Amino acid sequence: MALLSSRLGQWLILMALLIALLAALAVSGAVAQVEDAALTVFGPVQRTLRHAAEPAANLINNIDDFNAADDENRALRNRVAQLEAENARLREEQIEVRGREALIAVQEANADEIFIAADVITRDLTGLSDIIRINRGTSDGIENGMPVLAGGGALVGVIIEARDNVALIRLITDPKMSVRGLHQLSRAEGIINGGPADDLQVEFIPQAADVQPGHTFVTSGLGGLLPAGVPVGVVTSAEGSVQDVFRHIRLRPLAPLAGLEQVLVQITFTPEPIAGP
Amino acid sequence: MKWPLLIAGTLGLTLLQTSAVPAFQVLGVGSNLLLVVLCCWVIVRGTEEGMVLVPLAGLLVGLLSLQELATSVAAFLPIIAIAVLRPHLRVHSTFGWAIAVVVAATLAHFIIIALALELDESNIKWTSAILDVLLPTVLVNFVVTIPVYWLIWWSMPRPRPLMGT
Repeated sequence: MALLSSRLGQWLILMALLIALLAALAVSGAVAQVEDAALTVFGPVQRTLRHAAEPAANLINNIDDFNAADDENRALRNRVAQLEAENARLREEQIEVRGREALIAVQEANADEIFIAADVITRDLTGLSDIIRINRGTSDGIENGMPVLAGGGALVGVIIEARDNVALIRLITDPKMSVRGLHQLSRAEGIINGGPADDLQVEFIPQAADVQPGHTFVTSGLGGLLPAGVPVGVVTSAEGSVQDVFRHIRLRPLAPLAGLEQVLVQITFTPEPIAGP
Repeated sequence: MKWPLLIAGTLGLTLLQTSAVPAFQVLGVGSNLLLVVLCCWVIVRGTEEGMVLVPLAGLLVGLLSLQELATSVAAFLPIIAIAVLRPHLRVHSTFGWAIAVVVAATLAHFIIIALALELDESNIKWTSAILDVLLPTVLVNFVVTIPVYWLIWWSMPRPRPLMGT
């Protein structure tokens, strides 16, 4: 009782009421409008601050790299990511040319896909989930479930919440994210999962599949939630003994997720989950 | 004039925390500068201002980042709850107490955010989250506390010695 009557006790009660009120407002959807208004006002300030801090942040983040100039390093990394994604796409096309004319026909029919470029406004601060917010929304034709790609064409994530002028993207590295993937060379199918670290894990790839570091995984398109053949990641390790049924595979995402500033939303792809038998 | 300045300062710091600060990654994580500043502020200046600034910071982070408003506010509140324990723990060093509050508040912040994500069916891998996120964040916040604490302590108005004494 002494605590309840004290100043601290009254403050704690007030805070409990505030949290309950905010939770109720969030459920009712009223908070989203206030968040959007706040981002409209402060979003440009945040972008300016982030750009202003970038040179200093790069210097600190690469402080141990005395031999390479930072700008050159960044440019080369971006170029490598682009080339890897392009390479994976070319290999995918090559495989299709060799024996899958039906799929080529589908690809050609979809050659005029429409992408919308969007700026990344904010990203998750906790390190426990990988979600970013972009400055485009339903008014630009964006809908839930649409795939999001990086400049090089590699998969970034999917739209999980589209509002009028902003949208939330769950990145492929988010712990809640699962993508149906395909080992490009063996065509073995698996599930690519995110996690707390910035890499991806692949499940259900059989031991017989010859997966080696440097190989690429792409989306399989099965399930109808994502288009097929979009580059996802490069194998960094593939382990497992003969007793294991499946291999333990880790991927490095092909899209440069850490420094992502602009993304492409494929607005002509609408996810159509295929019902089971 | 004090409160408008404090509120503007909190807003400015929140804008920094939600934009520039995450770019400075050490050990794979960014520091929670806002939490560190609030902890040091409460330790150096007392809890009266903190009782307003701490929930305000939580609200602003919720509005300007991707955290739920209620979770964001709840994650900052332990700063006050921990800070008021000092008389019961008989800690003599104010700086040592600031370090202890920052470490405990970082831990509480992580737990509240992680539990909220669990409630949202995020299926957190706790071992990896603790090793890859919590421990580096505690270490980085600890290091950031040293300059932040001294800056706040140094900027506090103190009684000047009288002339001739």
